[in-house]
Amino acid sequence: MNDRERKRGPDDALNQLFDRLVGDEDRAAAGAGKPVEAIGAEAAQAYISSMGANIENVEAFVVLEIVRADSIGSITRQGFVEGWSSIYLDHRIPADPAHHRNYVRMCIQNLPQNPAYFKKVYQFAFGLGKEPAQKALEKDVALVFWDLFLGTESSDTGLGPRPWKSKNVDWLGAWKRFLAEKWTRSVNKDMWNQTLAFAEKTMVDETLGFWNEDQAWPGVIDDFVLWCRDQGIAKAPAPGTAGGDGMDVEDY
Amino acid sequence: MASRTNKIRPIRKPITNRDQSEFEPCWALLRDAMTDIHLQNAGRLSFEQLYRASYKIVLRKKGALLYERVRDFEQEWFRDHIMPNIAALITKNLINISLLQHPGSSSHERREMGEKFLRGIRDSWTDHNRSMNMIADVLMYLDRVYTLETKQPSLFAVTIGLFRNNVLRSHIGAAAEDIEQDFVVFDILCAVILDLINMERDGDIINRNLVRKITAMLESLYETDDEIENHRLYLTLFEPRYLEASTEFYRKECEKLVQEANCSTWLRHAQRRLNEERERCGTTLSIMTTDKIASVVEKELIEAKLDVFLAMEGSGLKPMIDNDRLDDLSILYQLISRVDSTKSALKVILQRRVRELGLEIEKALKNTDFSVAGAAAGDGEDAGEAAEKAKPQTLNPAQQQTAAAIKWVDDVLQLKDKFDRILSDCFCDDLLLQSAITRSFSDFINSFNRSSEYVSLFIDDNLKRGIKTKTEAEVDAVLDKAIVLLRYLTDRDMFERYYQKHLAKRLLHGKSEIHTEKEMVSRMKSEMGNHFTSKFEGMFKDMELSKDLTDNYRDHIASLGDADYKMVDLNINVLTTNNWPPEVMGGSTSKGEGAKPDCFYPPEIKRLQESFYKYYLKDRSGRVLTWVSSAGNADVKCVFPKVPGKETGPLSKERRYELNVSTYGMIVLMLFNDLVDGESLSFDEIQAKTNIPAPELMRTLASLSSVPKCRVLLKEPATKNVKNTDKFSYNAQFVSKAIRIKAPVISSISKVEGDEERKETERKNDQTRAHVIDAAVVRIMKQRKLLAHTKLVNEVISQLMGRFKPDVPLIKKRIEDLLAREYLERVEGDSSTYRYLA
Repeated sequence: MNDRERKRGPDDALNQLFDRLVGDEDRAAAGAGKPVEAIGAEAAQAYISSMGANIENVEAFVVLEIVRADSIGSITRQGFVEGWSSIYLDHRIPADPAHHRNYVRMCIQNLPQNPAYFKKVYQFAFGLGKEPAQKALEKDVALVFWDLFLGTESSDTGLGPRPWKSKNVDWLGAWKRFLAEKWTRSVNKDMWNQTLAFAEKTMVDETLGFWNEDQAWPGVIDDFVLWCRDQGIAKAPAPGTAGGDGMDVEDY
Repeated sequence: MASRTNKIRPIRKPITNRDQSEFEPCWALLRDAMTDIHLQNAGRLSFEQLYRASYKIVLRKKGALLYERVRDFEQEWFRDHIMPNIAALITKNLINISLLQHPGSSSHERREMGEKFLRGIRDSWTDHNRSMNMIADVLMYLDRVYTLETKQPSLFAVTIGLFRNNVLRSHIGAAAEDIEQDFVVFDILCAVILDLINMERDGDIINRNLVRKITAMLESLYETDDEIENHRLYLTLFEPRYLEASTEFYRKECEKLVQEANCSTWLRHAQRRLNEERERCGTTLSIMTTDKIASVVEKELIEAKLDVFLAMEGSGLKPMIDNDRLDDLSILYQLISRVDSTKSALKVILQRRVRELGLEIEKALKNTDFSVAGAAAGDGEDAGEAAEKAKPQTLNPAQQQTAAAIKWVDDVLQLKDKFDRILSDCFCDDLLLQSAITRSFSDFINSFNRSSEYVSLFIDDNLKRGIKTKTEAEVDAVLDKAIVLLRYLTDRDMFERYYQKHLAKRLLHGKSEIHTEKEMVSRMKSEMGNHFTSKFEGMFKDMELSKDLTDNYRDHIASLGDADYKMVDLNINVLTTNNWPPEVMGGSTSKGEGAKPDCFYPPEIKRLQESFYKYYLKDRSGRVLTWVSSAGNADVKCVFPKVPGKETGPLSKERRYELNVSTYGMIVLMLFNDLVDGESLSFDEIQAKTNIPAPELMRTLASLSSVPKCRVLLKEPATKNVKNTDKFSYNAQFVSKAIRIKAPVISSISKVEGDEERKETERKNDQTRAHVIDAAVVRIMKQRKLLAHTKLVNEVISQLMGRFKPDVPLIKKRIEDLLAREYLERVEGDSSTYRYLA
């Protein structure tokens, strides 16, 4: 490895790897004689599978996150090169498919165990799922994604890497029922991100004692908490433990 | 000893003997003198001689001996001459009565006996004290040199202390033997004094001087001969017992008062007791006790049952407030200020009462509404509970509702006056109570959801009536009151909305005096700031510019020369869209969607409009004028030809009247110009020809065909309400005594909104609030860059406080919206903190 390569990273090698992924359709889409800058759904799926990831579940998101994809059906040359290149710089993973495969396997194993990494992939998925022109995720897409990431026994896709449930409560099931009943709009980025933050909290404290309406939770989560109490899913804290109310505060 | 024989010793002077020989005569001299002093026989003594005697003794270093001898002498004297007297005073009876509190003695008896005992003690003390003073004078040199050097208590302290040791602390008395209880003379003394004081508290007259002498004695005696300031017997022995006994006394008294007296009596009683106790300390006891006994009274008599007394039915705080018992309230305030600097007991009830009275106003209003509306709705309309809610169909209920609004404001102002008076006359303008009362007023005023509208209506009513019936000073007072109310309103944006609407109507119909209007607005400005009144000021400005414009246009037409006699005189108001309420500008009712087609003007008017528009655009190209036909009015000169066949009476002559009608009224009337006698127009025809919106047209036709003083149209059938099928014809027989007739313009009366209208107003207001909150959040975040959720919410509330009280859920929603629109983002790792995205 010479100095130049150490500085620039293995960009040339990665470009060559990318070229190998290009299928006929992609070449046709780019136009004759022009360099192919992106590969389409078929080639992308093939690549994900070749990396040992299951395209049916979150494992696909792991690969797409690495290559910085901006939608499910496409991988760009830029994202591919920059993504692997930075992994090379951070972790010294050589630019060859075998090493990449190993790295992907490691990431997939890491996903349920490392909350920070899980959050990174989860938040990245928001960008993958939404239509490029829109700012929010369609509700149906969001529901599928939640199943993939946070799936519990009640989910169609089975257990996700981080099932959203606690000892007595299937939170994801409750969340989906709540959304079906009360929520008709799409899911914006804040709601998407805050749902995970909220999920983490519920898995620690299933009484929802951490929640307080004066906090910064999005309104939909406030409504969910009240709905849960209403449904008897989480009991309201005993009077007196909340504190602070009923006092006549002097404000003059 | 043998080993010391070789030491050299100093020569021992034979001085001892001489000293000894000199001491005894001197001491004899002094002893005799002391005896004389005790026997009050000191007149023959020579101070100089005695002084020298003690001087000599001290000089010969015999101070210690003298000190001892004097002490022993006094002790003996005390034992032999004073104690028997004291012992004689202490009878079994005295002990029984004073100490053991045996029943069966009248207070007179007790007093006699007690005072006799005190007199005995006093006399002994006076003698002793005098003697000891004189002896101390004689032996002054001893004290100054010997006592001081050896750091012993002065001779006076020692000898005066004999009284303490031998009298007060002694278990003497022949009668004492029978009593098992351990006691000393002081116990008797104290019990006697306390008994006397309680007698005085119960209304007896006692010998105050005598008691004062005794307490003075206790003040001048100390626990030890060292005479430490805080160890006066008065403070260490007497005062604690006195306070304890007083506590007991007042506790019982208070319990009795709770049972037997009312709050007013209690107040006066407590006040009297406080004065008595203060006076007692001055005359009978010691001023050292003044504050302490006051706090006993405060605690036992005032504080202990405060809540019970305040809650007493018929005499407690509530009836005091209700019946303006100002004296009681003043005393109460003074007493409560003594025991509780926060005056919370008073404050709580006061606040509750303000709120209750405020709600009563609201309730009374509903009841009044009920009866008035019931009386008015005589035409079979269901006058049940719905009367208050029922949409006013005729003019009367609307006016009455407006009257209800005025009544509400008047009542609130009256209540405010009442509490202002209480505050200044009884509560010394206490700031704490003032703010408490203010808060309660604000509470109930704002809990009443129509307060903003009512306050604006109140001002409306007064400014309109101000022209005719009120002097300037009276109007001034009303404006002040309005400002007072305005201060209480938290939803000032709602008020602004209503005021704009009402002001617009007053201005356009010339209902009020412009300088009073301006005065009012300038007061609002100084109270709430520029932003609050900018629209109102804009409206004034529009009115002024319009006046000039009208004049200039008239001059312009005149200068054209070819004055068309048929030309209509135009008086125009050009209104800037933003300054005026949409209700006026759109001319539409609340539900009108989009621009509605304008009505069809008669050709004369069309010509006028075009002419003015041309003139207007000369200096202001690019502006657009929209004619608001619903807001204007017109003077129409009408000629009624003489009615054929009538030779006498007013109908026999041609009649000319000047009729003032709304713009719509004018358009309708113009239609009848072209009509042949006897022909009529149906409602639908009129609407088709004029394109006036149906509700407006109904009102217009009603005012021209049902109000007798301006019934220039005849309606078929001649019922009160206008229906689509009605036909209208020209009333050839119209007669009026007045030449100038004003047709009532129904829409110009400011009235309480109906429920629908109100919801609409609130919806609009909420929309505006959302924008205002967005702006506030962005403004704050732009400045702070990074801010926690709670802080942001609080900041928004405090920034908008002056305009309205923002709803926390609404703020939260707006923040969420701004997050979605990427004006803000959550800080990574702390999702309750936001960052501003430039």
